[in-house]
Amino acid sequence: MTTHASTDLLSAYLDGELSADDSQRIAEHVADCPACRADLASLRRVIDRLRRVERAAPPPVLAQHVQRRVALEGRPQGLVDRLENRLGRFGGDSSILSMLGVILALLLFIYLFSVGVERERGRSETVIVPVPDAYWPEDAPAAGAERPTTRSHLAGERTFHWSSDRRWVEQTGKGLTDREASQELLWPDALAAYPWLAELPSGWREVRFVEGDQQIVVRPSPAG
Amino acid sequence: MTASTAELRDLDFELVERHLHGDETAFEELYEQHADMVYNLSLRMAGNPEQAADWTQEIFLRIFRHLSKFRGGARLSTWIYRIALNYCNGRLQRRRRNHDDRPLERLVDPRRSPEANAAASDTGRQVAEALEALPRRYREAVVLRDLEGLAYSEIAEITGSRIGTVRSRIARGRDRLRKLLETDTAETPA
Repeated sequence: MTTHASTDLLSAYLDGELSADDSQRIAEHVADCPACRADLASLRRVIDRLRRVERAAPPPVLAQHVQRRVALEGRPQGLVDRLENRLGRFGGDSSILSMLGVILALLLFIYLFSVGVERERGRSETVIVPVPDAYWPEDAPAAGAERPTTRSHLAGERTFHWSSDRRWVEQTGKGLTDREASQELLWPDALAAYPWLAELPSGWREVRFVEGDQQIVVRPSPAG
Repeated sequence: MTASTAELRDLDFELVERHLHGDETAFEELYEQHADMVYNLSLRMAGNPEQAADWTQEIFLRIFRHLSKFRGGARLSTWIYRIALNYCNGRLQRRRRNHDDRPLERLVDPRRSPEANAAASDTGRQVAEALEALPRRYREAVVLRDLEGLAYSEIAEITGSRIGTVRSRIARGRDRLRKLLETDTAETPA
């Protein structure tokens, strides 16, 4: 080996994740190269430091909280049970309970309203929208390579789907199974967080897409 | 004697089967076996103990809801890591979108003596702050490797990445941490 060893190789060497041949080559090179020897020692120091960090024990009360929520989750639940389950976590603080009650009522209203609006729609079309480079994850294929396209369904009864890289699941029907994970973004916050919304063709009614374990729901500004 | 991977998979499967057949103690056992792992991963990703406890609770609720979908293709711990990491990443994305970058709290364990906390928090705090400064992909790779002690192949399985990508993220994460931590040490008065 005539050039210096890369950090990639030195790091994998310290982890014992190289082949026997590569490992041997690195060992021989490091023995003869003071710069790589220093690099290796410095990497080893940072790893040692990370591994010295003590593991923390979960708070003992956490087990009770988890078991309590699981017990509530485990039996068939009506709306009252679900509310009790959600609100119970806050230990009965009345101000938080009231606030959550208002939020839940608001969310219920928004949901019922959206269902009503969806029923009024008769139009259905599919639009292909290119996603600007800045919004692709770092490990997405490079521009020009085989990139997944973004497919959008603007539909009356159907939900708008967004599918892009492999980590995003294309949903069908009414969207995520776990509705509690959904988050509604209002205009113009939605536009600030996802500037690609500006590129959607006019007349769109709703965008639903999945990011991490969250379902994001966006609707256009009232002005349109 | 250490159990083989096949034996461990059988134990995982048996635990899940018991849970699915209504044995309520099975989920308690699952919690006991994996709480430390989920809590510590959450702690390193969240950066503070309060959020870590909250995230851990939510992660176990997700595990409970989806346990019937566990097919035994991977170790149960790998499957749990994947759920935990997805949850942490979702929360971090939301935190970033809401610009909720609250300052890190010291990673202090209230059950230790003040002296032990003082000694541990110095290393813990500096590392936590340095980890917080890493891009998410690097942070998760370094946490899984150096704090959780997982092999590259397990990390690849959990994150859905190739081993080469995992290797590169670990190396880049460590390289950045090295700069951050060595600067930190240099700036600390003797």
